[in-house]
Amino acid sequence: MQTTDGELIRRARAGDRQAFGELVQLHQGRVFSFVRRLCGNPDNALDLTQETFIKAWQALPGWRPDARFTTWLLRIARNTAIDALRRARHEPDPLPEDYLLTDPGPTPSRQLQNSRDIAQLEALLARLPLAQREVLLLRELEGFSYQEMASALDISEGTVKSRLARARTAVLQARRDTTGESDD
Amino acid sequence: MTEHPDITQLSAHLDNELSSADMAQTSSHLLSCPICQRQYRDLRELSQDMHQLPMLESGLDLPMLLRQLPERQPVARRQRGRRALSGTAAAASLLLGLFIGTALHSSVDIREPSFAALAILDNTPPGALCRQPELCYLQRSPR
Ligand SMILES: [Zn+2]
Repeated sequence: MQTTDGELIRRARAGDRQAFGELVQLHQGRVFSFVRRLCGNPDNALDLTQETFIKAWQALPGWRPDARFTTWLLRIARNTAIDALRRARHEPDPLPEDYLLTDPGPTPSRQLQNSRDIAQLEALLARLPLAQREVLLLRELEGFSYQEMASALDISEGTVKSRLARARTAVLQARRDTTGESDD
Repeated sequence: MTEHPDITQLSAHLDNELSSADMAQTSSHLLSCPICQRQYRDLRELSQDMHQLPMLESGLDLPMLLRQLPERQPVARRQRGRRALSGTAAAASLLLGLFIGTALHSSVDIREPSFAALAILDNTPPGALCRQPELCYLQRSPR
């Protein structure tokens, strides 16, 4: 994967559109999922995904291998989405329960009971303030380090740390409120 | 027993983002404090649940996207103006240029620090991240 990415990136930087197309195929699900959860509306998310890749194509000659390609790409996606949200002042719509599901990822030690649990978690995420939602998504779904988040979001690592803790606390509390579970 | 670490410390401990001294102190506290164990377990379960969120289908039209990719020319072409372009194409190019300009100047900072040390994260499934196995086996307390 790493080698393939590296070779594709090298060719795409040199102007090979076919290689860039392969990079798009490899990363579109991840970019779309991130943008979709960040900004809500699926049509907007598709437009923003396309816009992200067009920007990435343009900026690719400036990419340096000292950053992970996905980190760089998601940073473009994030800024594209934030700019669009600012333009539209649009509050995200929660994901519907019947949205398309694909790869559920590795088998975890704890299983969410069913698609309703997943939809509930998506809805709780969608209710988070944008600044908290993005750090939680970048950390949990994209595996960003605090340093990578600080760099991508142009905030300090201390802010990342506290914002992430607030986001987690808010989701846990909202979940308790939903299930009626006690906090003690 | 040491003072309870706050939720920010526990959250950063879960992410392995504390200094080694703070990691050790927080771990030691966790092993002996049922209250913090429960908070930590909730944080960890949330993290595990989030790892199960699926990747969403984009429905991206790849051939169309590739056709839309602009020519990549490092030399600015602004002076050539809009005369050679039809009205619609000119407007589209201008908008695209604005987007790209924004991306290049504000969004894409290529002077990122090195993250080579984090490459291990790429090869490890998120659900498998557990640097302190003893804390992975904290038992769910009865409710
Ligand atoms: Zn404690």
